[in-house]
Amino acid sequence: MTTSTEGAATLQRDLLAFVNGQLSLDSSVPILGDTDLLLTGLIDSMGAFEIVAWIRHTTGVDIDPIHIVIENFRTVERIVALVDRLRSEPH
Amino acid sequence: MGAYPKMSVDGRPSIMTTTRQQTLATLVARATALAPDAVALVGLGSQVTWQAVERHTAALASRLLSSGVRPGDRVAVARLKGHESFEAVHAILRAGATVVPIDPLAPPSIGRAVLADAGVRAVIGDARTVRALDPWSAVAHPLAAVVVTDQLPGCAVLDWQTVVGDESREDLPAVDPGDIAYIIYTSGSTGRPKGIVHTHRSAMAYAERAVAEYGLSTTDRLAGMSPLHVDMSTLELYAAPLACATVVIMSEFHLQFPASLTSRSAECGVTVWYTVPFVLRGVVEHGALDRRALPTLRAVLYGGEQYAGASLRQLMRLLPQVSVVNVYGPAEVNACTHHHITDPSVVGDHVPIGKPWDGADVRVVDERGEAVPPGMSGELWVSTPTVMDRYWGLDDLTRQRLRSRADRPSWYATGDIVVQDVDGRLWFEGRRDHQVKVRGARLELEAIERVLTDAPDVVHAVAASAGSHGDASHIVAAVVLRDGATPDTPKLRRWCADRLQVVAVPQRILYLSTMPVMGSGKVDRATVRALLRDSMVESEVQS
Repeated sequence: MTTSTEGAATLQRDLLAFVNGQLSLDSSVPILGDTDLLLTGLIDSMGAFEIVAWIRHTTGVDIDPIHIVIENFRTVERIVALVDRLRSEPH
Repeated sequence: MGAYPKMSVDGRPSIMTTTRQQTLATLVARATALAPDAVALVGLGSQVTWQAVERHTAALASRLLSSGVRPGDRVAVARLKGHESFEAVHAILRAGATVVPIDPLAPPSIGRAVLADAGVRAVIGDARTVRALDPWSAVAHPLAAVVVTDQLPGCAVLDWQTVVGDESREDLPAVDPGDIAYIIYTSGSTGRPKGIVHTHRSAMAYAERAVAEYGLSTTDRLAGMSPLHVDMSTLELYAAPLACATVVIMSEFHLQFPASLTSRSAECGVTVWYTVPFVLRGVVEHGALDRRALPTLRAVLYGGEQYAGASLRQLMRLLPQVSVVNVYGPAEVNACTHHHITDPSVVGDHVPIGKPWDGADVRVVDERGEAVPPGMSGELWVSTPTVMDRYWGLDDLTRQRLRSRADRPSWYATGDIVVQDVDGRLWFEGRRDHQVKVRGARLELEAIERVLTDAPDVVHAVAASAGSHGDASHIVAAVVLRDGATPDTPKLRRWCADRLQVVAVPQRILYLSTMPVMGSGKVDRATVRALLRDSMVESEVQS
């Protein structure tokens, strides 16, 4: 079983690859873990829900709409932290 | 349609009876006289009373004038939403100047073209947007002032905090109802930005009608949801202060995150939403309304595009206390027809755009401008005191769209194809030209095709709007490349993203070996668009 930290590191790497490869409109400006996804305009307004769908597909974590808010989706790091938190919550 | 609401505050005369000769420039001062300590704006972090808005806007207007801005000059607002953007607009109006909003999230090339076309004399913005726009090099003449609301080291800018805290005052000029209040830009089909010019008279007429139509009052907390460069912002900017209502500012990002929008609306006791169907559909699907009541919300106004009946019915079941209004009106007239809905069970798959509001007159006409009978399709012409003055610097286009007839001085030819039913209600059917609405944004397919055709290796391009459930949610395109060129969709999308708003960037691109043409040799757009719809549906099913 992987620890939460290892899982988070893997998720961050994979999510960054997805965001840079599939969602970003400008590959000349790489998106990093702490890049502001909203201000850069690199991801359009549908992007957040594509990320949610990708996370569901990749990790099996279904993010409740109540958590799909600005604070949790500003950066890739924050998205990963959210998924990590949701994974560790008892069901 | 109801009478003007009674809005007497502290025994003063009703607001509506005092506005006949008023301009937008007097709105803040009047609201301050009526309700100095009432909250004017709930910003993203702080609240501001009318008294404070009055002080800030008087100081900023004074500084614009002392810096060399003259009445009639254009001043850009280039900032993400906040209480500062509202105050910047009203300071410009109080200085007798003309507001030119810039989309802070569009590629800088678009904003720079607007700055140049309007010939702005000053800019008020945030550091990020101002840095990207580089307004100093965008216009041919020196700028009188650039005010930034945060830090922009190394540039000759004025600091917002210092400016609005300054006690010195200039004499603010008298503003005439015929003076130009603001210019709202749309993309235009030729690639040149198209500025829609509104006077204080036309904007005030809109604000007065909107206050009456929606019963806005001092107890309302209107969600300020519209980006400033979109005409829907006139409700929060002008109708709200006319009614002394509070504006709860929503950031651009609240529109992208439905749960953030519902959460802030609940926390701040919002009573009215005015937005586009794209946002409402997001609220239905992701707004967590099954677990979050919005007991204070009394009205949802939507416009800008058609809203599919199924999602609207769901919205009304989630928010049973809310009355809904479908608002219709291009930016050239702000708004002109309305359809009020209180019962979801009467909502069909399509919703009419309704009947003209007080003071507006409509005609449905054929190609020769002659009225067609009910049940027949025709172009919608509107005559209303809320109509624009002209397109900025585009006299031919102004003459094409503002038609004089003996019975009325001017009719605005909307380009929208409608049908009037026997009850007098209007139903939207489509466009005469290649304009589409996607997520509420008004886009010209020809402008998108021009950008695509300018890209390296592209010979022909046809763009179309696409989406599921009958709502356009994105742009798709078909292109023909020069012989031997290899398709590179990410590269082509990047090319577009540098030159178009994000919403106009094609999500999917179909590569054709030749473009179907008609007998005349012109590209057969209708066939290509049908092909696009079919192929995109297939590829969505396959993926």
